[in-house]
Amino acid sequence: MAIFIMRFRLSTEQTKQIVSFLFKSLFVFWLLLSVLDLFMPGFAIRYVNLNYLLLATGTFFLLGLFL
Amino acid sequence: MNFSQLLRILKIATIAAGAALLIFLFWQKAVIGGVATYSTRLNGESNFIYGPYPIGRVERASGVVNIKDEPVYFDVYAPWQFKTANVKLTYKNESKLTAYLGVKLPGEWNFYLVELPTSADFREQSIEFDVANAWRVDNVMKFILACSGLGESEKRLKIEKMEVKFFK
Repeated sequence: MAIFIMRFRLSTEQTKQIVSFLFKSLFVFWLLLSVLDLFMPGFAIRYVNLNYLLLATGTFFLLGLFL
Repeated sequence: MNFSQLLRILKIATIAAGAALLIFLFWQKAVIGGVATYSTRLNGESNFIYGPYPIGRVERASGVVNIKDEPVYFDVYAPWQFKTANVKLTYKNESKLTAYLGVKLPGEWNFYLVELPTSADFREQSIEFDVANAWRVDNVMKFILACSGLGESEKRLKIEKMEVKFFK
């Protein structure tokens, strides 16, 4: 992420926009997979670790909060 | 490249990656080819075959699982109510005890059992089960490995690998 920011010389506001977009996408995706898994047990959880997905979502949430 | 272009590329890439993953998951769920194969070396790392359990009845050695009491069970992910299941078990049964592999049918204690031949060395045995009416809850089918008299002696049933092939 730091390399990305330096490579494209992003301002704080632009970084915040990207982080916010990534947080929203990951959250929507985690929610979608969790709901699908609820109705079709094993559909997502057998292939994707939803805990890691939630961890990544939380990381972007915290990044957005402190930027 | 300006920021708006960068953001657009990032959005397209993220949506494409999400869509690709969803397509992959639905493809796996639908079992388009009609055959789903799951295998495990019984080291607990498989997402599709859980077991053998209860853990008090098994001992894990390097590359092998020793069954010291019976019966033990395996939970196998089955995204559909498949017609047949081909279970390939790599095992070693030095004892003179008769071992059975079975699939759970609907009912409280209802298993369809097939005898496993005794073997002084590791052998691979394939058994075909009709699973069209087998017990299946939360997309999981249950298999049983029974060996009467195992808990009363020092004898062990060793298993190395399990592969389940489902056919639609």
